[in-house]
Amino acid sequence: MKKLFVLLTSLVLMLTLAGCTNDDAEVIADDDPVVVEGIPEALQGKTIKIALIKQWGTGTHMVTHINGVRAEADRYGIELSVVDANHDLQKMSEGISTAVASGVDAILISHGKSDALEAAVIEALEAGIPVIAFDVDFDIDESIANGKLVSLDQNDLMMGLMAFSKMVEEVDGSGDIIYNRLAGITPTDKRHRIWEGAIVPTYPGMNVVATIDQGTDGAMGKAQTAMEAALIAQSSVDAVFAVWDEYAKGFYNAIVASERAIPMYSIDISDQDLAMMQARPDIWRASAAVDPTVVGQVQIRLALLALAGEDIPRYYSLQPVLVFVDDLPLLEEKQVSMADLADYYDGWGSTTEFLTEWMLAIEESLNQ
Amino acid sequence: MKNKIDKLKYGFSKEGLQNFDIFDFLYKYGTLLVTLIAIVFFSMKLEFFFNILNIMNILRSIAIVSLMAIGITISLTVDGFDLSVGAVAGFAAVIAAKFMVVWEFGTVPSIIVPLAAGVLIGGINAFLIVKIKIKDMLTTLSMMFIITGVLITFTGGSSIYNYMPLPNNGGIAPGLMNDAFLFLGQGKLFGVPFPVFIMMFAVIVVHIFLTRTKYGRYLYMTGGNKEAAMLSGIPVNKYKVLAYMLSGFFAALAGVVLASRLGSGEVNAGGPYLMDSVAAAYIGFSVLGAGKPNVFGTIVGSILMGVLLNGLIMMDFPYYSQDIIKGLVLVLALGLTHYKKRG
Repeated sequence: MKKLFVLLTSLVLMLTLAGCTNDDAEVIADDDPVVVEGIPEALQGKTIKIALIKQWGTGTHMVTHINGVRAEADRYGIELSVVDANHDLQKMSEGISTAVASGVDAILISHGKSDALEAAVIEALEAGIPVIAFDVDFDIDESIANGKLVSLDQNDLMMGLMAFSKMVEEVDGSGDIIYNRLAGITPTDKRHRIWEGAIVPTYPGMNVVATIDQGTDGAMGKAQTAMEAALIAQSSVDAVFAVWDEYAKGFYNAIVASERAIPMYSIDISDQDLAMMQARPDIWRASAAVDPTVVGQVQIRLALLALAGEDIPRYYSLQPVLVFVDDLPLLEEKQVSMADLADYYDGWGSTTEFLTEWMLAIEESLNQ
Repeated sequence: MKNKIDKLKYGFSKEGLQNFDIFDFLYKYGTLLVTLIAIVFFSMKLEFFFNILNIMNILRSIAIVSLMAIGITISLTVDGFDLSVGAVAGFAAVIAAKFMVVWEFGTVPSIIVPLAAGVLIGGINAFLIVKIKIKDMLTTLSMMFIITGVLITFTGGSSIYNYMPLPNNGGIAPGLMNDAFLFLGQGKLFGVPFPVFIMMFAVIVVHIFLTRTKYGRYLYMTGGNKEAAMLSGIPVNKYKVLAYMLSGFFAALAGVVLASRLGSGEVNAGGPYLMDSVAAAYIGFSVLGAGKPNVFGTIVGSILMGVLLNGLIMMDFPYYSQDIIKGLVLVLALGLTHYKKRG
């Protein structure tokens, strides 16, 4: 009996391992170098390998971002590996180092903290590997960065301003607000700066009655529980702000359950958010966002530009839009998805930022 | 040793009765005292804390943690430890959501299938522990990794929700989480949130099962002294299997309630509840000086955690400060009760 188990276990393990190697083999088989007219010499005849290292990869927003990166990588025949650090900064830093060691051509980062990742990023830059960082800023000297480092963001300052302004407008400049803070995360810190530095001094009537901060892990459920408590503690609430849509989803559920129609303004958007927004347009009023697909597209293109030796910006902000529920059709007319937002807002869904002729040439060559 | 035997026999030590002292009092009532102090403190500090709406709110918020903690408690009775409850709950939640929203199986299968999956995972845990003899904690830890991985693969990392667009341009998900299903997590009966009924029912049933039935006593005996239990003819392995299956069941039940409460199947939504459940189950040891896993104690433990969380949120504490205070109160509660135990 025991021997049988050992045999079976080893068999399963062997099959699993075999399965893994098979996958790799397939990828390598895809790799057939082609020489194409018009594409930069540095990229001629090689399969580009790019690693995407994310602080976490779950939740609709993050998945949309990964899919955006993946789709754009596929366009140019790039071999992409994705590391999901599951909220663990140490794992993220190791992910970057591993990518450097395994000889990738470029590294994309999403979120994380500069303090924890700086050493690994310097390691990558010193090895001549471009680093395109999304939603995390590095204060690294230009002598090291050497034109190969980009800090990309969704213009969080602008998103904050858009969402706050809509809220101020709809509560007529003053009211009791349940505020949402997520300390220590670069993008949410930037959004908060607008609140602290611009909105509060300008509109002293905006009165924060409670602030909720429950971290990033399992945020929706925790946000829901927290908002339920806050709504009991506060009898007068004129508006709710959610600094991140994972919180907004939990807040939304709590507000709906409280049977109070409190308007909510948020940042970031996903299909799930849109479904909720359309279900209760009186509650979820607006959310400022950049299409995460576009983030992925731009990250890949910047990496390609860097590899081709062309100039890339040190800082770049994508253009956000304010998704306002009154701009959208009623739920009965049409269920709006992320892809549909392109019909209502310019710059949604896809972008031509940093797209070059030679990138199209690579794409063309792969389709032949 | 005699003291210990007495304690097992009567639930308290004879010596303790003869020489009453403050430590003995704290040993029994320390945890309850801390809970009470927390409630009194928040009631004085916060206008809206001690009102019926908020009490219901707290009870609702602890329902999921409690169900998972009951699972852990049962695994502790056989001297095991089920670390996979958080992952199982998350798994059950996405299965329920997928059955309902994507595959349109209706309410009953969407509840029963995740529960069955929980029992099955418990069975696999038990098989690995009993037959292959991997340590409990390592088995369930591995299972936690496996299930979390499987569920993220299963959902593609994205949550499952009403009107979700299906992959490969498959249109919009056809099903909806219907009202009957949502009632499990969001409904109210006589002003009391329905999850509270589920929790109370589970507490009462499991309490009776553990203390008043042969099976319950055998579970404790299996955990207390395996050799002795074996010699007295108890099929200890069968009881271990039973304990893990029940643990999986309650974890899955927590997951179904969670999916209904959130109105969607969120990825790994069960994970963050694990540590609170472990804490609740261990606080349970100390309630009324039980010195062993017990469901009444567990529920006191999760009430303590729920009260702290609710009060601290109302006082505007961010999560990291909440964690500090939660940790300190745990040390205080457990310190009060375990100080005497060294003797």
